[in-house]
Amino acid sequence: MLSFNLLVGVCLGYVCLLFLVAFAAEKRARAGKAGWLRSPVVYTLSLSIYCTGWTFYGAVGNAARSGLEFVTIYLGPTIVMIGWWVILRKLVRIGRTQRITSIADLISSRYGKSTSLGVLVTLLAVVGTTPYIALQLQSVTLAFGVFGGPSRDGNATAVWVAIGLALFTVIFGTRSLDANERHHGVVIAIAVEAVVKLVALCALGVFVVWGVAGGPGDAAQLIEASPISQWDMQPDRWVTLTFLSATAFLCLPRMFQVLVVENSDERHLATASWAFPLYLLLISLFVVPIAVVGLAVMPAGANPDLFVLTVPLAFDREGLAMLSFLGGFSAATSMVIVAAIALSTMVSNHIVMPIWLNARSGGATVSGDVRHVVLLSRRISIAGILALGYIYYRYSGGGAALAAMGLIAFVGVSQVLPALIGGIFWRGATRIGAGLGVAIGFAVWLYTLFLPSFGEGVVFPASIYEVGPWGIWLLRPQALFGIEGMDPLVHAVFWSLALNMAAFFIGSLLSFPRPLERLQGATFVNIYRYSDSTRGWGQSFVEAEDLLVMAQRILGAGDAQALFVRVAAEQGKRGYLPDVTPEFLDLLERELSGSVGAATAHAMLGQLTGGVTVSVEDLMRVADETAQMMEQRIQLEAKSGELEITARQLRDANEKLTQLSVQKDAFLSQISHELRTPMTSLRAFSEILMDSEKMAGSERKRYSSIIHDETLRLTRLLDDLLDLSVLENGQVTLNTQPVTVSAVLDRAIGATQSRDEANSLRIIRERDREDVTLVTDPDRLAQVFINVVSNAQKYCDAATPELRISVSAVGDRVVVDLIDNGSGIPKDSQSMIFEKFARLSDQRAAGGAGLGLAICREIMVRLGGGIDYLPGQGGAAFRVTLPQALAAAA
Amino acid sequence: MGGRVLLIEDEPNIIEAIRFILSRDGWAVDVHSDGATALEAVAKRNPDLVILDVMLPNKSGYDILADLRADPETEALPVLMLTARGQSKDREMAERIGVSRFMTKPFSNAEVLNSVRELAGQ
Amino acid sequence: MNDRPEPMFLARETYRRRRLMDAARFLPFLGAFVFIIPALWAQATGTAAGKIYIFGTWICLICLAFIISRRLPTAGQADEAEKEPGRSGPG
Repeated sequence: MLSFNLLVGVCLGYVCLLFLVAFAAEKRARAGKAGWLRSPVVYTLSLSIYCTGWTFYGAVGNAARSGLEFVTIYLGPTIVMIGWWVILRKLVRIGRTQRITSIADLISSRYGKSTSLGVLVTLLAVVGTTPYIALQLQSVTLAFGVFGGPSRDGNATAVWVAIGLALFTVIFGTRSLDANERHHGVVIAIAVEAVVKLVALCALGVFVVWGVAGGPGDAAQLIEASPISQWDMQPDRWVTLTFLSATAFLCLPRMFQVLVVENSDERHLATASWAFPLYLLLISLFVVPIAVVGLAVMPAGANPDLFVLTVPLAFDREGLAMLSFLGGFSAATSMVIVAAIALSTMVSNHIVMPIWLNARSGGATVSGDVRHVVLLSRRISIAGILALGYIYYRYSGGGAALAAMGLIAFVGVSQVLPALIGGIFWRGATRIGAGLGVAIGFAVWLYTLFLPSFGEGVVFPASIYEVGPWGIWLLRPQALFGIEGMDPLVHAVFWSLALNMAAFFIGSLLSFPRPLERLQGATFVNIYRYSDSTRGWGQSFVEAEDLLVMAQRILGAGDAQALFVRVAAEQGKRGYLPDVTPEFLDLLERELSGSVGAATAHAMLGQLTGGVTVSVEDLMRVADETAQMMEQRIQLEAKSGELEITARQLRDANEKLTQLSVQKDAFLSQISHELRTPMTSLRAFSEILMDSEKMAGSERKRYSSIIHDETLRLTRLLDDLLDLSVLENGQVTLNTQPVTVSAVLDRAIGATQSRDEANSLRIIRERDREDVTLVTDPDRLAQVFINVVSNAQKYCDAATPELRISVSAVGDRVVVDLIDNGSGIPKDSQSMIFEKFARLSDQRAAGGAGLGLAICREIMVRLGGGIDYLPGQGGAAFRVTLPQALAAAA
Repeated sequence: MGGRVLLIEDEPNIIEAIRFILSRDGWAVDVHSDGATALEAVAKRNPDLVILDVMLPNKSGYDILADLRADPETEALPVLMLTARGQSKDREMAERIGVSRFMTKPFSNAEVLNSVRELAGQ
Repeated sequence: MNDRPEPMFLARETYRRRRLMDAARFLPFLGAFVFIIPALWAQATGTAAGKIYIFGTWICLICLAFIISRRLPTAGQADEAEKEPGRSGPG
């Protein structure tokens, strides 16, 4: 007999391996080398979380009890997958273009970004998934029990498994916020587990067929001779289960997560359409032989759910038993991990965030770090969901056959089906209809299946089953409306979905949708026609800078800035602040909804833009329903959009030219001024010295020193001009060498501080992040830093001036942000500061000719990088970007 | 000699040079460095002549000159303008507003002194 | 002159692609049909024979799905405009 400790050891080793695999995958993905991590094979394997511990242990048990019925659980998904062109393709397209994060988000988004629907679907999913998680805990605990004997405490095992799973999920599931960044580590770990499951079950099957039975022919004879030789077909259960499994495959939150949210390429679906049914076929191929052999060799009364473990143990194949155990362990853990991720996303986006937003109404977008709140709420949700699963396991008696618990969960989540399918194929479906349908289906499910599943007398007294609640005979939980004799499961599926669909249909027909609902309905149903634009934002008055401040809190500074720069570039503008057009707001909303869900993102933007929801223009679009008109409109829009961009670019270019000519004049005039001023002093004092012989020694000395200082000033100016002209003409020779950012900053700060002691600028640095080695010209780079630091010294107007320097590496580029705590540079001056002689306040005291930042800009261009003003940071903020290694350019 | 000259200029070294040259010749020199309050300074000091720089903080020399010419009290006050921008259009601009004399920096000391003597005309 | 058949050939290509998409839409209905059949006759059948039927049809469906998914155009390009055929006549 295998020792229990050895088993625990192997288990821990396996978990460590998964950690390593997930960690390595995350690392690769972060380095931008996702590559094969996102292949169709990995996608297909990740779908195998459909096959849980239930599949692994329960299928054999089910086969031992009712023959081939177990196979229906795989036939449903097979039908859905081979029919990918009809439903899944559309779901994936919608998911990708609308940045959908979960099935609750899809439903909420489709029905006018409704918060209440999101909450409803989330609740349904949590209640429907809890028994399922309990089922996984039970399967692992039972499996441990097989090896550890009855003396082992099953509850303790379940607790440890739940804690371990919560930990893994928190670490790899809540790493990145944006759901579209996807969970590379988790997906790879699941793919590995998928392979382990398949190999384990096939190995056992091969052993049973060839090792025990003596070949396929003998195995067939064994089946003929077994108690399940006659196919005990119940047609109603057969059809219902097939339908139910197809439905659950679409509606289960975890399946939606891997099918839609984690999908990185629509074409992977084409591969999975045949590869996943093949996987299902392979995993169910040996179920009947294992069950038959189990029935033959195991003593009567042995739990058929555990044949997968007990059969190899009965033949003393401990290695095989161990492999089987790992297979079952894989199946259970991968399901729990993905389900917890999917549910936590739903809970945080649809329950926690709306509450949090309401609690801080008005100020939500201006203060506080939303990312932090979202991540924290997800982590807590994960722990909460696993705790719920454990509690269900403890108090449901834990003894029910695995398959029954799984089916109860299936029926629960299936209640989303009418709203889901209706939502993507029928424009007339409304929020009221969807809400009614889901709520009624949910209630019927609770009443007829979920609550009775705790056993007679636990929730409902036995009398309710006999005579109905309050003696109403028609409402007996397992014989609604007096129809008796149905299988309880078939009964529940039939009534819950029938009433659900009826409510959905009638509710939709009788209610009138809000404009946003109609808009979303048209977009979802016609997703192929106009792939990427949903109009929700009319013209509004909000500053791009405010939007940037908010977006930085949710998407993170780097991503938000990249997005804004990209949009500005598409509009033909330079810099970080694009025009606030309805298109831009739409895009921003979609990006944000990838992080916090559609309804929340809509609400947050609504707060900023002053509650604008739908404009007259949008209403007209809705009214305009013929496809032809739509197409013409789209074409026209595309054209006018192009024209607008061209016009804007031309306008910009023209403005630039005019500016250039004005600048040239101004430049000459400035040069003249800057040169003549010191020359005036020189001439005046030299003449004074020349024509007054009888001057006191002290006076003479003073005037000579003025002449001396003015000469120096003139020389400095000429140096700067020369420097600038050399840089602008590209005749500069760079002296590149490897150096750390830290060293260059040390030098720059040393040089500026010795110059001015009185004006004490406090410099805050993060030394541990500055240890980035660059290949660049350290002298030139130091010159840039000196300029920015001394500008902060001169112009920072805070009571206790501070300059924060932060260094980060983004890909192969290094970014250095220098941010002070002063009042910053006014928006209309931001575009000027890099121009020559642009001194904002006319303070001579500041010294210098106003060429500093112009020189900095030229230097950064030569170094292959750039220097920009970063708006929206509080004070004056400069961002210096440069490549880690300067390409050897001539 | 011995009239009062108001020098409106913001470069300290140039102020010192002009003050030296003029006081050596017996003029009383007052200095004012801010453009915005230059008119009040003129009213308070009541000088015989104003020497006015063009590039001043807060208010340009042209604007000050225009205001001086608009006020009957000071419309005849001699104004010697100094500028470091030596373009002809600057001179034209100053003459259109009504400058008494326009000089480009750098100037010769003798030239300044002569101009002051002529304009203050004693 | 043999450049006349070319547009015909392209049109047929598009036509066949459309029918392939129809096949893709039809496949799940075929799947549902063949999997429901056992509900009609299974009472009289043994598990071994039933197993052969189920797994046999299953493999057939997988093969069909494989063929269709291989031939279907990548998303969204089904209605590509026909390209103008280049003239390659003698001359």
